[in-house]
Amino acid sequence: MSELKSKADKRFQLFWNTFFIVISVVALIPIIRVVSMSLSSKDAILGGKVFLYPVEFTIEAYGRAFQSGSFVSSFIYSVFLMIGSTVVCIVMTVLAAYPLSKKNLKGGAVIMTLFVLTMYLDPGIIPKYLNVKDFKLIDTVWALIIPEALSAYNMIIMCTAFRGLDSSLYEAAKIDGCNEVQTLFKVALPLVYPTLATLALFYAVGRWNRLSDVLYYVNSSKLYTVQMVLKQLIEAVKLTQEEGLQSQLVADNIKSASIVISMTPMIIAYPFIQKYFTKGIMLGAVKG
Amino acid sequence: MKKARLFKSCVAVLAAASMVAGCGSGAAKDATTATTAAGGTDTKAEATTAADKGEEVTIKVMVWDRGDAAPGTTVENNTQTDWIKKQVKDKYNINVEYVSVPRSSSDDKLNIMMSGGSAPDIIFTYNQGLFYNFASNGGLADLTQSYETYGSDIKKFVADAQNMGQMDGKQLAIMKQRGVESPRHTAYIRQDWLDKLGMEMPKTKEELAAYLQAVKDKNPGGVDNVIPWAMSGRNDTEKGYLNFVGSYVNLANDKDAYIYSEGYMAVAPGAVDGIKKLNEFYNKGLITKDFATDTTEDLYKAQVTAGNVGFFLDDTESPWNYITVLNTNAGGRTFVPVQCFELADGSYRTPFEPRHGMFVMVPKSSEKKADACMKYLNWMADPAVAENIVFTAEHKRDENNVPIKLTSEELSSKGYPGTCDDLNIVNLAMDWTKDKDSIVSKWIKDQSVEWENQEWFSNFYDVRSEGKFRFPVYANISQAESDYGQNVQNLMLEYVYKLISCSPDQFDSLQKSEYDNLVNAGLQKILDARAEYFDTIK
Repeated sequence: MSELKSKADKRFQLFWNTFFIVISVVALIPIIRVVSMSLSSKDAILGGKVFLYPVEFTIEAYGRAFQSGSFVSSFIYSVFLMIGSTVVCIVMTVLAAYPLSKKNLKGGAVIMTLFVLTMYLDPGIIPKYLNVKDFKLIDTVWALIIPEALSAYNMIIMCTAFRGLDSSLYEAAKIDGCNEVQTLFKVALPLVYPTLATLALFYAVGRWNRLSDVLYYVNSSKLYTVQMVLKQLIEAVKLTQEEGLQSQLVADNIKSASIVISMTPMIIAYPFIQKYFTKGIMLGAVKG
Repeated sequence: MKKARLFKSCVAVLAAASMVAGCGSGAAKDATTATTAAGGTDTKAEATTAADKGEEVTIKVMVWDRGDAAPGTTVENNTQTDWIKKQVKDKYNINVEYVSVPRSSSDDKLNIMMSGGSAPDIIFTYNQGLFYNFASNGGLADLTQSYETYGSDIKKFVADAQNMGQMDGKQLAIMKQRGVESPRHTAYIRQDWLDKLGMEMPKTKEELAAYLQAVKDKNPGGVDNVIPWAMSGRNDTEKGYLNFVGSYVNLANDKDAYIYSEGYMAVAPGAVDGIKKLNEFYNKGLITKDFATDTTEDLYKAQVTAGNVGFFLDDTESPWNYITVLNTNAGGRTFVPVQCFELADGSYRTPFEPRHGMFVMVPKSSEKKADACMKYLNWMADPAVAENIVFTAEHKRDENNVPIKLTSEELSSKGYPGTCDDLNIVNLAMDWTKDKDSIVSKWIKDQSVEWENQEWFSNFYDVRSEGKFRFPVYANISQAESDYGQNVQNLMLEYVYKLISCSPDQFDSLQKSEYDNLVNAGLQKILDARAEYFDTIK
């Protein structure tokens, strides 16, 4: 950071600092509240006493959340699913983006337009379901991987990153005897790794948080992701009223604990990958 | 992906191991219950003739997943489903497979599976609109013949709810019957505050108004922020005002009762007077200020549990959660149920839940299996079977003949799902649900901490049943209602909330303009269609 001298500069900085602090606080409060609730007793929550710090501190809720069989197994399963799905997505994205980044690809513009069209035209859930059903993917783990294996938006970002590489690099590789596959893996990919990391994060977060496909395409409860199990926990109360059933309701602190546990992988992953964010975006700009 | 597969096989091994363990301990322990609880089924099983058995059929049955399966099991495969599968296989030669559907999104999922033609052979919903939709689009198998042939126990035990499953003379759904009869909503009042104020339990709305005013003026609890009548702004239920407003409505006959059934009571003739009274309370400071903004009812719950509230109208049993906390903190009795919304003639009208619960259906695509499905449903219509499904085959009964639920630890360690109730889809009306002493005894035993005694629950049973009333129900939904119904329901809530919290001099003009809004949104069409339908069936 360069020294800011003039008054106007200082005022400018003060304004934006305050602005971003406010925004961060607004984003943080709900998270802190959920964490506090997960560490409070359920009576204190019902009494509306918990806001930003735990009341009647207890970690019982975490114990209970882990004891619930389906939560732990779905958590582990979700982690594997997220990793597997991210690998598939990245491979698909790179394989589509690299050829399309070449200016001399015949029909490249048409193919690109077709990709872009998918961003505007969504067939709706029932045609999608029928499609997945016709491919016999219903109730398999592939239904959670293949339909979302390529995001046109991410593919365009990847494509732009490849185009940002100096064409002389490709020429040099060609002269040194690389074929296209070698060029991709030995020259292009190592140079766009920040973009690659960023997109991997996008895909991973997307898979981790996505709920609708689990809801629609999967029937066996062993294929439920952690978000699905969370949804069931959280909506349990409303439903028992409809049924006139007074069974064991899930206490608020256990819900909160489950939410906290399900946020953890993302919170851990972000700082490691975030450093690539700025680089990933810079890549499209002029290179020094 | 190899790792994922490896993990899955680990889970499968674990599941198998725990099931073996569960069976072993279960069989050893409960030789006694088999004679008491399962007695009815055993004799029946012997009586089953070879003709009943028939060819081997496999049916797929939907089951709700609430994410509470025991570790190492799933809702489709656990100790309880194994028990059911074995019973049904032995009796009817039917193989049962379960298809799990997440409870929280059940209707959406069902819709998609029906559209995709991949729904299980037995499906169910609480949503009348969804049933009507499937039925009127020809998506459901006609069960009339199967019901006649194989539905003897359904007829015997749960007949009175079955008319809801009929359309145009066809039985398109088997109705699940509810258990304990229960009102929609119940009002609660602070007994200890009444005592401090030296007031009697209110029996009329006037006495209630006097109590509310006294609570505001004298603050008998000495609390910081006293709220005589606590309300929330929940935008999906009219529980906070409907019984009160309804007491201003005169339902002359069954037709009126059908037209203004439940939610439409807020726009029935006379209801405006009730809303005006609430408006008066609000402006006197007797009702929670700005209650309409509390849509998640967090503030409402907090105020009730903190002991700042003198009176509230809510669901029947769910407020027990708040009262438990309050009683524990206050160290004694606080809220008691009260019925004080008298009608013009001094009697009471407490709307009860209809007897029918879920719509249990067979999709058109499974028409060939209708008989097998009916046998399955008929089997569990027997209360003795239903009891074994809900409470597991190894449950015991207490001295009042009430089945004792296994604790969640027991369920979990023996491989039962947390909500066995979900497998029982036809009959909840077991013997104990018809007897006051049994019901009261169950309530007492179900307490997580002891917050009230026998006398309180017994009184609760009496008070909430005063003026028991059921709105007439039919399976039909008019075109107008399916087009505008949901929107109008939401607007009616807004209508009432706005009118309660406006200033008194604006009340009449606001009422007119808001009512016109409702009419424009389709209210009149719905009411007309309801009236017309009632005339056609009479």
